[in-house]
Amino acid sequence: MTEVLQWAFGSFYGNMIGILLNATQWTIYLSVTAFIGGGLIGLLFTILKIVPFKWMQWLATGYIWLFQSIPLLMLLFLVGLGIPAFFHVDVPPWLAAGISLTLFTSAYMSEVWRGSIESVPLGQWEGGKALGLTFMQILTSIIAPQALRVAIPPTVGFMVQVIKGTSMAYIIDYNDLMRWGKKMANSQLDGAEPYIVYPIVALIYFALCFPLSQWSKSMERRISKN
Amino acid sequence: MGFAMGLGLALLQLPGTKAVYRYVSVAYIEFVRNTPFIVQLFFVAFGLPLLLKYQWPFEASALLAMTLNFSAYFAEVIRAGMDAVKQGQYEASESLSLTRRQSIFHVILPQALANVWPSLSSQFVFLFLTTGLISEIGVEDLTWSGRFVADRTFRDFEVFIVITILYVLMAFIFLGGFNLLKRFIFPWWGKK
Repeated sequence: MTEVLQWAFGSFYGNMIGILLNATQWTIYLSVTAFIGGGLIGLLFTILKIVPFKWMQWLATGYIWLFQSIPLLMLLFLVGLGIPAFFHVDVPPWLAAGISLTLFTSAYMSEVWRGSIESVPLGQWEGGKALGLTFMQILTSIIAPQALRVAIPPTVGFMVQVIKGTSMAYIIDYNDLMRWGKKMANSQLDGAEPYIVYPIVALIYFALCFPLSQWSKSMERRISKN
Repeated sequence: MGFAMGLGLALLQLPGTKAVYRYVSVAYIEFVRNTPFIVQLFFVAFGLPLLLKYQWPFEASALLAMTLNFSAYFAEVIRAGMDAVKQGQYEASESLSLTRRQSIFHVILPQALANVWPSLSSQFVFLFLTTGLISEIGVEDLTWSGRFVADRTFRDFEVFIVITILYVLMAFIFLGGFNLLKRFIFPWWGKK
């Protein structure tokens, strides 16, 4: 792959873009980890938020509110620097970044999903109850399929936020695209000036995010047409 | 500042403006919204001064980057609000022989802003929470002072907890402020 890049952009820029693209894979891994982890925890709190027990709802509300109000940067500092210093444990950067982004993602995801579940008319719940179904049965077989349609566009849209969020992980020395971009921009090489490197980095992020956000938009339009 | 520029960008997308303006504004918004703030910030703080051969203070870079960044998000929200204003409102203001400018500022915009006020405020809080990043280019904001103290005391955990609580409190205050402002700016809202 590096050969192709070198052929296309000259050996210097080919190498540079090769290194950046290589670092991009770590950005993608982190995004996917955060998305899956955040999705699972988010799902848990979405369910807690709608079960008919008051204290569980409060717990979920508190969790969502808390992690929506904490800056991602602070989460990274707390998990990546604070916890290791306080408990004298070693937390590798990828783990700290993964945990922080998972917490961040889960709070927003459960908010989105709760919204889409609430968009299903209440009569659907009552209908399920009238058929003698249990809470979980109603949720999984009646409500979830309907809510899913509404939920997918904002979920995909939020993936863009997650990808952009991973760029902050370089602060705790996670080796992603941003960190390599910064390393290069700080190097003294001719041709690797910040005003060249950062636009390239931006373009790579753009290439990751733009298809997702367009996809989300087009699905949204299709749903609102129906 | 971000709000003002976002407003400008959103206005450029109104039906009836030249297609070129519309494309430029859409392209700008999409590019900013699909790249991380930190890359934009570093470009403005480290790239531009080299390119222009003029070093301005980092506070100015931070302000510029934040303006560029916020404006795209606000523009998107405000545009959504203007889309939601019914077509009849445009026609009505035309039939009252209001000029284009009058109809936009007196009829369309107030409704559009009132429509999207909640998402505008949550968007603002979301962006506010990312501003800690400007400490990365040496602007002495709350996050910066947090790291400053943490580096000297080695009590990272306690310091970051305190800073986090401060951020959470501020986010809370901003939300409350937006709610108060809403009642102040749109007294007619919700009285129908």
